[in-house]
Amino acid sequence: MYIQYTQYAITSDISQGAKMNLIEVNGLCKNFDSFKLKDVSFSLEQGFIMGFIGRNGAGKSTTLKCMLNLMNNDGGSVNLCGLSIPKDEIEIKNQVGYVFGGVDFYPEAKISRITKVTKSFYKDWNNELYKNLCDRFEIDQNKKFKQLSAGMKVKYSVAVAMSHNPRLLILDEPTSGLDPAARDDLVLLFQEFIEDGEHSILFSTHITSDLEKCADYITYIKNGQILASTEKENFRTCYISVAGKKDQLSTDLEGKIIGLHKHQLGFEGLMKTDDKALAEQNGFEIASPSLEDIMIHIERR
Amino acid sequence: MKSQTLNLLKKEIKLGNSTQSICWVICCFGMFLIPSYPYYVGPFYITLAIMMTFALNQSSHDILYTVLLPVRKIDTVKARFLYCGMYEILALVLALIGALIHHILPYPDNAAGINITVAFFGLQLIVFSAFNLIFLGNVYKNPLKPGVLFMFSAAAYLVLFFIFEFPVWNYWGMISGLKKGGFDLSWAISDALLRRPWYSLENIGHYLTSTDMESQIHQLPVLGIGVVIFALSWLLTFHRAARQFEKYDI
Repeated sequence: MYIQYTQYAITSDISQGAKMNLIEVNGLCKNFDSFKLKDVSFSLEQGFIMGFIGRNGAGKSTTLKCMLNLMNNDGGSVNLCGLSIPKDEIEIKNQVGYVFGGVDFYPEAKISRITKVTKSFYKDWNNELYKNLCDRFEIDQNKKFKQLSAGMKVKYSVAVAMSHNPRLLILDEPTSGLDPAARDDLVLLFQEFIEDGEHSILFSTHITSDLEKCADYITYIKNGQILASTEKENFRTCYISVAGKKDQLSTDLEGKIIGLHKHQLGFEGLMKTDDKALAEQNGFEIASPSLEDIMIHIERR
Repeated sequence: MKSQTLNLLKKEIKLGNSTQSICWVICCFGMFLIPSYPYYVGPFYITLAIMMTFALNQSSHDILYTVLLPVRKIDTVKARFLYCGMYEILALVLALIGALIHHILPYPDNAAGINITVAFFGLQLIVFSAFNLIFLGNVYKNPLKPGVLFMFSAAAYLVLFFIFEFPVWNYWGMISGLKKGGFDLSWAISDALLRRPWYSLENIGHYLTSTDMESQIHQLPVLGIGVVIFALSWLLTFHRAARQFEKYDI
């Protein structure tokens, strides 16, 4: 089933054909005793999906929480849908939908009751869209939240997040713990959501295969710092996968290989595309890396 | 009241800890029906209901759910305070019903502590004020960990309970001593009280626990003081909690 999402009143910028940034994060900082978010900056234009990746503890959830004013920032600014946090927090929360994967809201409450309470807070709740999404995902309104499967819980959370007609969806690990079929259902839904060019999704995950299917942009965070924020293809073409025999390696070359792993048969790792000529001169096997390859090698210690 | 605060209050009732809270309310009411019982124990069950409302936040992720809604943080605190206040006022309503039942049946004088008098309501409001200041006034530093804080606030509740009951126990102690004398008891009580200064524990106890209409009218200042302390502590506690919750990182 194809679901048509309501379009919001279009700003003057958009009516003239210009696309606006639904996310603008500039120099965001948050200090904990054992962890720091340092100068996080990225932006996302309407009509696109951005994958927000990094290993567990890299700062993905902290960034999202700071963006939503769930945590107080120690510096920087956040603009969502052209409005600023914390000044326009309530309007932003009307225009942004959130899903936190793995969080069971009110496990003992019936789905219908949670929905009834939730919709009373939103000025643009679309009951028809909610019903369509629940029919599509076969969500039983009479079940308690805890009786839903892990996949159903996320689908229900997504249905609720989409039903108040948000322009932007912010998803924190929504597909973690789901089977491939459930993940595919969601990815298809996300693609439909942005198809009209007016909506966007920021999708935090460490399951990079989902992003291979649907993301247009990748923002990579490591140890609280943004390593890259660019188009997915640009990000991938920045790196090449290399492999070879041990005798092909030299100390200089080892310094150029990211996440070098030596094994009995030889070695494998990642190199910057700028160093491709060097890899070719030394006869390395060269391949195009997946997002997962890049992430694994960047995070390898 | 702004509509979102009202919606949040409805959310507290529909998605919160209402089912379990009703059990505590029934326990509270049951205590008022027991003849000769320390009646401050009944409303203590209400403080348990309040603590459990916060304790169940952890499993229901209530805090995260609420702050993601298009509401201000201060409104979520306001709604929770209204919800807790509602239960505290309910305890007093139940006490009032208990007092009516005592009057109609009638019950014997309460030898275990204070009768359900006008003064009792005032003193109970002071006990709730202390509980609120300690528990609600600090729980928003970390609303997911109410346990230790509840121990401190419950201790304060019990200390005040003993302080307020102490004069009444002295009064009942004096009466039980006079009963052993085997003479006209009402005359002996009046005589014994007159021999003591007005501020003696026995006289204060007599003042607090007397149930006749004239005495209850004389107890109105205690109720008035209770209402003022409760209202002031409520405002102070609310602003303190709202400030704490603004700073709280979820």
